[in-house]
This record gives sequence, structure tokens and C-alpha cells, in this order.
Amino acid sequence: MQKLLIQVGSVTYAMKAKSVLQRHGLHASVIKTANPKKNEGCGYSVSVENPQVNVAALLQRENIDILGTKWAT
Amino acid sequence: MIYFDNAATTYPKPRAVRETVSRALTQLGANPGRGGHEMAYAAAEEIYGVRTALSQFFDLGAPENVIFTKNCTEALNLVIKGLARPGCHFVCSDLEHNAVTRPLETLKQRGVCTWEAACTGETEEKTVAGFQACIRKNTAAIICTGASNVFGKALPLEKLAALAHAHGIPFVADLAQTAGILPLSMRKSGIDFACAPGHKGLYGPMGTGVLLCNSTARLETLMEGGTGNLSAQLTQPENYPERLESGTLNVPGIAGLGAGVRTVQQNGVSEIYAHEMHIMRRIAEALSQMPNVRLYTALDSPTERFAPLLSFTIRGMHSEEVGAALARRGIAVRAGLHCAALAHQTYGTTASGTVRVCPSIFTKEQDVKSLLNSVFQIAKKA
Repeated sequence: MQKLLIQVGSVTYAMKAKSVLQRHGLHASVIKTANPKKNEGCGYSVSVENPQVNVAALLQRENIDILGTKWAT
Repeated sequence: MIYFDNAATTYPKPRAVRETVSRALTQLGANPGRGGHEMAYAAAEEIYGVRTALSQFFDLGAPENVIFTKNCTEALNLVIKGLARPGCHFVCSDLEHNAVTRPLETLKQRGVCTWEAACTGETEEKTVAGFQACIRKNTAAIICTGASNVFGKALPLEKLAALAHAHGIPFVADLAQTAGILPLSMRKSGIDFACAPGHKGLYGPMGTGVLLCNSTARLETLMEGGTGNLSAQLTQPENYPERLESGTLNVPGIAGLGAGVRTVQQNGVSEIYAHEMHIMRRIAEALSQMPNVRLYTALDSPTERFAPLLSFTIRGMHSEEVGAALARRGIAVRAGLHCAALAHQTYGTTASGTVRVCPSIFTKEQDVKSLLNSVFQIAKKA
């Protein structure tokens, strides 16, 4: 199953993103991330399983800045 | 002990608060927002849940703009010093606690800014006019208590927020005596920054407080350090809440605060206010008829609103003597100046101080009878 990793600025935004995605029926979890952006150090991401909707748009509507996204298996 | 010192800290704490603190100490023993293991995630989840609860409780609409502090004083320092710029000026009321006046005076003595206290009046219009008269071109913010921590007098926060905005400056509210007692919507009130203790009307543990940010005005930091994010940078992150929350959070305290807020919601803010005002009216009526007792809080005033607390003195006795006499009878009140020298100057009670009485959701009729009987006995001998 493919997972979309959404990199955000902090654990607070990761928790907020998880909450928003769960409200939309998506299975999301918070994971610690080495570098949200290159050379920035620790950060957090939200992992979403096989999203069928535009996750970025959902999060941006809730004022969550997305630092980057990538797919993982 | 019969406890009427709830304006300082509510006691006892609800069972749910005590149990939640205990659960957090035993099950959430890791740093939230730092580690990548199960307990760290669980702690972060708990903290975010309390941010969300507080955001909803105060209708802030942004859990990330709930900043945890160790008390209301720290929250006020974060805002006042965070907004201060060289050469600026602040306006506060003449009823402020030292949590407002001391940071302002410290900034003044450091040559950073000036400040003045606006006269409060017996009507909301007079109070607003008092603030209006103090605003200058370089005024950076208006800061005002929701209610005097000594005399209970409530101030018109929404009108003062409108006044501040008419002058293009932020409005800061000190909710020390009103959070959990008087309903408040951050979004509707126009308050830009609100500071609240966790351990008073929200029934959380001591060592908890919050700053609610409803403004884009940039706050400079009081403290910098580890935030668990952007760790390779030497500069402090810009985003709330981490920008203002360096160091490990008080997880058990914050978890307990969340349980306190749930307790307040279950009881209902309006119901709590009605219960406590009923008690205060009963006490005020009895005190006003006692010989040698002078009451400073006119709860029946047609033009003023009050938080549920009052102050009184007994002729010929310093307030501390009265407080000590009550303590010997097993009754806990707060005597003296209540860390609010300015408010006592305004009411002319600096020399004697006052005795402050404040109930909680747990105060019972028998507690009221015991208090009134003891004050009567002490006043009779005065």
C-alpha cells in the first residue's frame, strides 16, 4: 500500500494535520522526520494511506503549511 | 478547612483533574514533540488534545495559537515584552495586577517604553473614555484585566478591544479572574491576546497557564531554546506555538488542565457564574449589615458588572489580622494587597489592605454560614 508523507513544521501541525485528515475519513499517523527541509534538522510528517483526495488542499484550507510531500511504500 | 481563596487558586481540584494528572505521570512520561517513539507520540497527542479543547472553549479557532505557559503572569510577560519596541507606550487600567504593572515598569526603568494607567469609571462608557484619554501616537497596545482580582469589578473588554482597533493597536486581556467564570469568544470579542491561568477558574493544576493569540502582531521571544523542530537552525522558529514554548512542557499539568476545562464545560460557564454570584450576593448582603465591616464590592450596582469575588475590611484591624483570625477558625481567605498595589491605590485601601473572599464550584451553603459567623465574631470584638 502506498503512503503519502506530508512534511510539516512541527509536531503541533502534524497533530493538526492528522486531526483534519481523520475528520475527512482518512487514516493518518504522525511520524518523526529527519529533515522537513534540507539542513533544517528535526521535524514531523503525517503519513496518509492511499489518499484518494487532494490532501494538500484539505490541509491548506486549515492553514497548515506543507513543507514537502513524498510517496513511500 | 473552609476555602474561600479561590481567586488565588481553586481548591480542591475536581477528581477528574487529579486522576488525569496521575495518569499522565504514569503513562505519558516522555517529551512531546521530541521523540519518535510511542510514548512521545502519546504525550504529543495529549498536549494537542488540550490545545484543541482550549481553542474550542475560548472560540479561538486555531489550536496552534494556544501557547502553554506556567501561569497567567508568564503569559502576560510574553505579550507585553513581546510587543514592546523602543520608544513605545502602553495603556492599562488602574485596577491591574502586578503581573501587568511590574513588566511595564521594568520596561520603563530599562528605558524601553513608558506606560500609564487609565482611570476606570462607574460606567463602561466612563472607563472607555478613561482609556481613550491615555492613548498616544506611540501607544503599542492596551492591556486590561477582565475583572479586578481585589474588588471583582469587571471591565468592558469588547469595547476596549474596539477602541484599540480604532487606533490600529492590539488589545491584550488578562483573564486571571474571569476564565471559566465569564463566557468569552476570542473571535467575536476582538481580543488580540488573552492570558489565563490554568489553576483558577479552569480548575487545572498550579504551574499551568495559557496565552491565546488571535493576532498577526509579531511577538518577540522572552526565551529561546529547544522546540523539537527545525533543530539545525540557530534561530528560533517563527511558527506558534513552538516559537513561544521552548523547553519541555509540563505534560501532567497540561493534561490536568484539559480535565479541568472539561469539568467547567460539564458544569457550564453560565451555571458556574450563577452559582458563585448567588453565594457572593448572600455574603455581600450579610457583610453589609454587620457592625464594623466595610464592604468594597457593590454587587448590586446598576451600572457595574462583577466577577464573583469581594473585598472587605473590619474597622480598627489590618486586613492581615482579620485573615489570621479567620485562619485560626479554619477559614482560608486572602488578606493584604493581593499583588495589586494599583487597585488598592485606586480604592484607597493601601494602608489596611482588604480581605478577599472568592467561592468555587465546590462552595456550599454551610461554608458560607461558617464564614459569616466567623467574620461576625471577629468584627464584634474589633
